[in-house]
Amino acid sequence: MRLPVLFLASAAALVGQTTTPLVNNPSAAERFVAPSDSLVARENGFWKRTIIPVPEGIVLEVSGILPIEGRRLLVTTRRGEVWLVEGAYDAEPKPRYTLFASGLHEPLGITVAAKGGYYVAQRQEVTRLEDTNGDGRADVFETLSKLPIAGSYHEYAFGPIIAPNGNLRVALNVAFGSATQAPSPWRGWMLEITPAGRTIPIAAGLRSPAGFLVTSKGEWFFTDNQGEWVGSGRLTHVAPGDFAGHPAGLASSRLPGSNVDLVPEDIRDFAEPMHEVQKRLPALKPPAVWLPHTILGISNAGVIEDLSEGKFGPFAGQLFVGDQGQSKILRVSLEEVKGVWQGAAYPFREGFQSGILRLAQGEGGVMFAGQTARGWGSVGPAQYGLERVEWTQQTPFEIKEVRAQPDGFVLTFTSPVDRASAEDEGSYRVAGFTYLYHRAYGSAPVNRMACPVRRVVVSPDGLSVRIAVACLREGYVHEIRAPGLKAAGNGEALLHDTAYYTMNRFPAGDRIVPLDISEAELCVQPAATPPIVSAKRPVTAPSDWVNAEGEQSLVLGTLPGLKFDTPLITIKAGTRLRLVFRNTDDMLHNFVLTVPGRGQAVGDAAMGLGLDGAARGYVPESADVIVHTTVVQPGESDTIFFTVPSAPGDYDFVCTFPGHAQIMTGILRVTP
Amino acid sequence: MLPLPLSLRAWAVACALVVVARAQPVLPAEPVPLSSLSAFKPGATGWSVAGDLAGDPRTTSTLEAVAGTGVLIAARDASPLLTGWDHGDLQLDLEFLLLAGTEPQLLLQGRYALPLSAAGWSRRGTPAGAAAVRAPGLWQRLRVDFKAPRFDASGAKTSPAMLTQVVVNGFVVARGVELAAPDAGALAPIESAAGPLALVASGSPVAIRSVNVKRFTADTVAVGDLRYRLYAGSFSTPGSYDQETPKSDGALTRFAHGAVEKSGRYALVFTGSLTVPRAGAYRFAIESRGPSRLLINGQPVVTPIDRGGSQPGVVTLTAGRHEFRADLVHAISNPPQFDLTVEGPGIAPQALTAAPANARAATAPVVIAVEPTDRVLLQRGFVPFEPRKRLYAAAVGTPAGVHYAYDFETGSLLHAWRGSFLNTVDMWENRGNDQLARATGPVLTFDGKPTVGLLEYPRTTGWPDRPEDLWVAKGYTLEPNGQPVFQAELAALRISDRIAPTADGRGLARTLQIKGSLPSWSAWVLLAEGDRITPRPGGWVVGDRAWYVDWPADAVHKPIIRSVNGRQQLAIPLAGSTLEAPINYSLVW
Repeated sequence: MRLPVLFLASAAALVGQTTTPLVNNPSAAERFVAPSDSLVARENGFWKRTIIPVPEGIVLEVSGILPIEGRRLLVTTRRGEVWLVEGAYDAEPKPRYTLFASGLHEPLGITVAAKGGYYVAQRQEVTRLEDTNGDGRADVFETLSKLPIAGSYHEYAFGPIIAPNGNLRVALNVAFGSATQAPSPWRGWMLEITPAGRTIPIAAGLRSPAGFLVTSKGEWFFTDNQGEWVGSGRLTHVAPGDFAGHPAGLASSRLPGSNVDLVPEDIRDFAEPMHEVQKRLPALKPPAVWLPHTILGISNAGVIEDLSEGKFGPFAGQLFVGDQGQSKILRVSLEEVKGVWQGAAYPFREGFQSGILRLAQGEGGVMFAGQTARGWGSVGPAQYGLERVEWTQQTPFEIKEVRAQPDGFVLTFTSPVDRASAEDEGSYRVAGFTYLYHRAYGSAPVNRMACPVRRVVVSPDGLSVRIAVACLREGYVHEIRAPGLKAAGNGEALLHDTAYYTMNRFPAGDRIVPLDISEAELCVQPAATPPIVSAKRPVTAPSDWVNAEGEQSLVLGTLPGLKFDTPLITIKAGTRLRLVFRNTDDMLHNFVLTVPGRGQAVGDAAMGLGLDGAARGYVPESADVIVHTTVVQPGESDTIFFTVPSAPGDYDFVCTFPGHAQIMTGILRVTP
Repeated sequence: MLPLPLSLRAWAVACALVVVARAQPVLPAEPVPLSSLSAFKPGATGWSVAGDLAGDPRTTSTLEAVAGTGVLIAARDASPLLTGWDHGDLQLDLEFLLLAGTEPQLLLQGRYALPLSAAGWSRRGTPAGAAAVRAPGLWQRLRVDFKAPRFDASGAKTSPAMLTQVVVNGFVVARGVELAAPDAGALAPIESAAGPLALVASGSPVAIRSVNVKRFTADTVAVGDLRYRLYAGSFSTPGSYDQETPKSDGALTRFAHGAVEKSGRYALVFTGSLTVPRAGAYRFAIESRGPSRLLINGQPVVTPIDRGGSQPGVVTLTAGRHEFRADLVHAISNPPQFDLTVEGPGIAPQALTAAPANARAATAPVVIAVEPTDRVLLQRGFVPFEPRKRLYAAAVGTPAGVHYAYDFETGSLLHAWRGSFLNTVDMWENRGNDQLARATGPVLTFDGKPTVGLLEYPRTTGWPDRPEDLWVAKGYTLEPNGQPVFQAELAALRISDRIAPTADGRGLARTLQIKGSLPSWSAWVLLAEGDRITPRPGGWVVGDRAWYVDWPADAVHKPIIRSVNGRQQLAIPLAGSTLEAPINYSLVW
């Protein structure tokens, strides 16, 4: 495919000559609808949420769900218990909880053991639990395999999952908070463990692989959390010997048994798109599907394949991914193009009561969402819980699947489209972007470019639309919106009108528009967007201050679990203040001071910024914002200078990084 | 995998060096001489001085002396023994040894009773104290911080006596307990500012040794003429800014860095006078994040540490006024800290700087308690242990109130304790930074060395302190009441290990069942390790009468005492003929 090269060659010559105004940065309101009660209510009409009550005294911080025969569930918790739950399928559940096992160390998954009982992965080992005397409680806790750990809280072990060959797989989180993120062997790896307990390394470069699965076709994928080296949430395909990008795992690449050839010295702080680095470093494996951070979650977790053959609705064979921070579930469709996995991610359901760590599909295609917010917080206010999601047999008008074409995409729908709206090129908006592969924590979307729609062809049955666009780029995420599209008959709009397709490879096939050299004029890569300079982030003392340090200095820090270390700051009105915001947490935070009572509203508005948020430091344009810092990387700080408001009162301050504002708040009490 | 243990060893050595480098000077306590009874008021009967104890004080009803000095022994009919001096505020350390069924006690100021026995603590309604007291015949440690009552000029009491803290065998059993009135058995029932320390045996033979006290007066050190100089900027060493012009200076009324500057990067110099009430050795210490120091009369006393903080110092001062200068270099983004404390001859540790005005209130819970009620509970977690935290470990709590921590990598007991079971707050609150399963009762700590050792040269090889390479922990099974039985393999040996409370609830009964075939190296089972292991009827006492190994008379196995490199091990050499006979013994403390 020559197209990207053409762009690069032409770009320099054509800067400034573009005549067509590019809709490259539509407003937040156009692009994203903030989570709204009405959307949640509409979603509920198609996929109904039911809370499974938890008796008082049980702290059901769900970390694993295994549906078993007899419409029962085995649920593991972060406090190390395994509960048998009966009655979770009932229309009005009043379930019975029976303790099957306790005392485990933060197990994060459970699966059936062929030799009897169940396997769980604790922090330090994979263990087989079995009730051999039939009294309903496990009495065998057999160590199958010890897992290497050094003692960091961040050394989670996810899984186990049974492989088609009968072995088990686990995925090991990298450590955090010490000099190295790999203080013990195989951190950041997916490992296979034989029934005899032997360990076979599979792949490296994972960061925080909170969910993984093997599909019915035998392909392995894991979800990962944004962080250092991981620009955004992602779903990555795993084959033996792969390196998914986080270099901590390469600390083990020289150990006996390693099947990864890269060594830590191969990875520099590239600060380029991952797929560009891959051209020089073919062993690097970019994600199959990027899950755009803040839009499709902020802490992607459990992933399952819909194996219900239609009992859960029209998305059979697709993947569903839970998200802890945003308390939502998204949907992913996959295809293999030229031997490379890629596909699209879509919103599915939101508004859950707590952060979703685990998903499981039970009898009749019913889905269970296991939840815990502890340590990271979630949009859903509950600390933990269990919910059921079932299809109401009502099918919404929805993008069922996006597939790549050499010149664009084919969108299929759950019901026929209204032909007039579908044939209107103005019903669609497409834009491409990607993320940087660098040491820093997360990446803003970069290299954004609109992809003007060139042609639309609607299928005779109205169930699919092929759109050809300009400026398609290999390696990039393409945001595909169809806000103008209507369903045939009732004219209803799409329940969710957006999909994000990661175009790792252009497929072969026929084009519906010729490859047009004049595209080059249209597809000029915009110059790197300069960071938005906000007048509300005064990083130097105003010139009229006599003392450049201000009259008072204040250091505000963070505590783990989305907290400011000083939730109440009392200060005299009109004080010239130097404020140092210090981020000692392991995720991104900012400080935004708002007028009294408006912190939450500003936080909500920041969430609504969507992809634009990162460039704005997640600070919305709002008269409610008084001052703010930049988004501060873990271990760093930002200093601002401002005069405390003259009107006494309780001013809100919040972290507006998406998903944080509901929890991470404080009061600046201005006294007369 | 050889490099890993080696690097861990290097790391442990490095840590040990750090500890040595940071050893801090302290003001020694005043030893109460026990070479004779001269420290005590004459006239007491039934008390004698000995060099050690003989016999088996676990079972006897009297204490059997070995000639010498250093140990006070009370006979059953001993009268109260009073110190020749009176005390007000007091810090007291001593070691004591009880006989079965006895209830000796101390009387602070001759009137406030402090029990030494479990029964005494129970009667007082302090179960933590009862849990902390050890079995008869074992040496135990007591530390008491006592605040005497205060009276005004008219003699009216203005504040009551208080047990600031009582620590039994390393465990805090009481903190901030007001003593409203003298005990019923007080020798001096009228409260006053001072009184003698009394040891009351009252029908309870007891042995006492290593008595050290710090007797404090109500005197304090006074700060005067306080001034400051503030230098803006990032400095690295105290004093390096002396040639610069201060950003500000002046007199201060509140001795606190926050009274001058709350944040930013700066150097702060305080100057002033210290008036000390009497001549003697004074210890000064500064708690700070940046480098800090203290000069008195121009001489360094507290010296800075480059990476931040300072080294406390002891200086001899004459009574009266002395000039001081204190420096704080604050060049990091963390909030500054500067707390200066002094302790002197008869002067209790005292803060010279003012307490921070807005100390942050702790909001997170301190304890998430786990207590066994109807079943034995096993909770995995990381177990705090020196020199390395045990990561493959579990705590086991029983309804009988006897609990322990077990290490899967070595198959060894790490801790045993009675009382409350476990605090999981470090695992279950927020992200659980340390992931520790912490004992909430008073722990007895064992050696944590492998229970089954392969010794290449049995006569000369010390006991391994790392897990055996061939040891494979296989997990555990649970009996119907939740009692675990641990399983492991070592080469061709299969080991099952059951540790449960003894019938009387005073110790742990262990059953090791070993099957399979012996390896070519000699294989041993470790029962106990200490600097000495002494036989006694029915078993051994480990260390300096620290805990007991009880051994059944009809046992098939014959433990022997190995002595290698100054350590002794009570161990069983495994032999093919008796391999599969269970090893049963109890640990009592």
